[in-house]
Amino acid sequence: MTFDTFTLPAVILVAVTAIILLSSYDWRLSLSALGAMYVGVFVLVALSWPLEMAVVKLAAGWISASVLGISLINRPLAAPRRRYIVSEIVFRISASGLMGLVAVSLTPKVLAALTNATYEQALGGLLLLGLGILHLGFTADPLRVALGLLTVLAGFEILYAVIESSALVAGFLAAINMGMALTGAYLLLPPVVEREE
Amino acid sequence: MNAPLIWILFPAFLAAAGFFLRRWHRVVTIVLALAALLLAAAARFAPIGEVVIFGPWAFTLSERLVFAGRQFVISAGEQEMLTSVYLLLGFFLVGALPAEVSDWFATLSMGMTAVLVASLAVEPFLYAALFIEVAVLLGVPLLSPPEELAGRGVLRYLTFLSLGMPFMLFAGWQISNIAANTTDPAVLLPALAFLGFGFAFLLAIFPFNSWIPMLSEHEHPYAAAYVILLLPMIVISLLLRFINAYVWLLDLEIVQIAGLLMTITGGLWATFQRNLGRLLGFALIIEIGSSLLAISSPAGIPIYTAMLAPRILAVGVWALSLARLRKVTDGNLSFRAVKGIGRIYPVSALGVLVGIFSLAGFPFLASFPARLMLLGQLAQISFSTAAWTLLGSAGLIVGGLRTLTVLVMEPDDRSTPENRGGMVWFAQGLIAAGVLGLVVLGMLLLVL
Repeated sequence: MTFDTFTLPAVILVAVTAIILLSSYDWRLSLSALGAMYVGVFVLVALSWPLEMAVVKLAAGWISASVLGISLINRPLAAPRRRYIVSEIVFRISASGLMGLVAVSLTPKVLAALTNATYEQALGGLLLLGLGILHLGFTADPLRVALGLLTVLAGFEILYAVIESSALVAGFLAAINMGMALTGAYLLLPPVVEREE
Repeated sequence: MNAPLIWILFPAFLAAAGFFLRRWHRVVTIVLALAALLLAAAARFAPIGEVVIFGPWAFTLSERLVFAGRQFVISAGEQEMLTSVYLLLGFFLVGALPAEVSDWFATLSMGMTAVLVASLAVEPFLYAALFIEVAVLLGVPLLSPPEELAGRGVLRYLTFLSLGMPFMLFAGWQISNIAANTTDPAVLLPALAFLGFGFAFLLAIFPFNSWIPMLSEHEHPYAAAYVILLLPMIVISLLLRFINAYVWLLDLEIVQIAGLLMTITGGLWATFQRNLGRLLGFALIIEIGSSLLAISSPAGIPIYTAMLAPRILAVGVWALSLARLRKVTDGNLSFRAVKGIGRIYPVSALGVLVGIFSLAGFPFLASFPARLMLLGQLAQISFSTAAWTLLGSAGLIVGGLRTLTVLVMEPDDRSTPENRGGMVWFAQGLIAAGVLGLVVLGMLLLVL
């Protein structure tokens, strides 16, 4: 099965979802976007890896999103809803646009270094890396940090899939992905006092 | 029997078992402390790669373990590093109970150490970055236990160290494609850039070091000190492996420049600190810088090794003392909160001061001989480098003098009663023994 037809939609999907992750305050929307982002990541990784290995990325990504979601649902006190500030969203989307331009301008250089990569893989990977780093720069909230790191890791994994197809590395990266989500979920939990018996 | 089984899988198993038995965390901590000290002793004396005769049994202590198609190799050349790593763990676990650090500290610190030793042993190198990332993730609950809210320092620690992994993996791939005799800058530069950024994130090189003072200020200083000591120790061992394989890296002087930058900035910031936790953080930044300066010259490896034991002792004493002081100041270690506390808690205050001055390389304290050797070595290469390094230490000494002034001032409130539980006496005994150790070690090393 080839995914050549879906590569451009996949790039658009990862870009849109990463922008939603960057500008949304609603955790439900953010986690839905994260889940959708991994579909795009799966398509782009499947260009270099066998389907059964690429599916690992999708599964690990969805498990990560679920872990964060379960942790947020089980929080005893819901976080206060933040009001959307139009100027802030405009700023974040503009910053994403600038990062998009950087990604487009860097893509030929990445293609020169990673000779087996397609244009869509290089662009998709760079977009996620850039938007993830931008996300990390904007926040000090545990959920946002976890989402930012997962975005960066997803971008890196698209590019790294081009050069490394070892099953062990794929497994390790999937485990790190889920570990990152677990860490994020752990940081989201309120303080608990363990009682000594 | 093989070495990776003893120094990676056995401690990992102990850590996992300890995690499930953490209800009895005191017993678990004592058992893990003893195990870590035994592992350190075994690392010092075990004949790796040779036949071991144990009563009626004889077996070869192999240096290789094959797991999932990958090799883990612990050779005789790594025994010194292993000894230091498990000594650090054992030393910190001995003080874990009086430091009243989280119940998770013992098991997570042992698990983190086992994973980091695996990162040193794994071949090919690119897997090291993955193991380090796993260790970084384990470090989060260690630094931010369930009973505390995660601070910004923990988030920044997670962010910066996680960003190091992609760079290291790309660097590993690029370097594997470069022939050993390549000198073309166009080929080398991308690999060097990735490698440089990877190590900059993992070693908290300026400007990626802001998480260190944030951690030591807001999280438990004992747990923070352990993580900030252990991670660079392992990453520097990896860097040394790179330097041994690609000696031309030293010609670029980038390691020396990074070390100098850290020493100067750490010293400068230490001068103006008004929080004892942050001061510890900047002292640790200076220590990472000094390590980089030591390994930046081919003859500097013995100096780097000589710096380790005094550093572990000084940071341990300092962190334990801060942990005790933090207990009576409700977690606040600002100068305002600890004003005059030396008059009420003299042993803890002495531990803080001797820790600071020892790390700064003050004469007759444990770090002084190694610091002197480092400065001598640097002066042979460049006098200005030695002078700037000395300035970094001077910054820490100024920070120490300011701390001394604050600790012995007339306190605003003298009524704070001291908790006289058994742990307090144990803590005071450990701090006093550590202070004595720092002085005696300093004298002995000078004489020897």
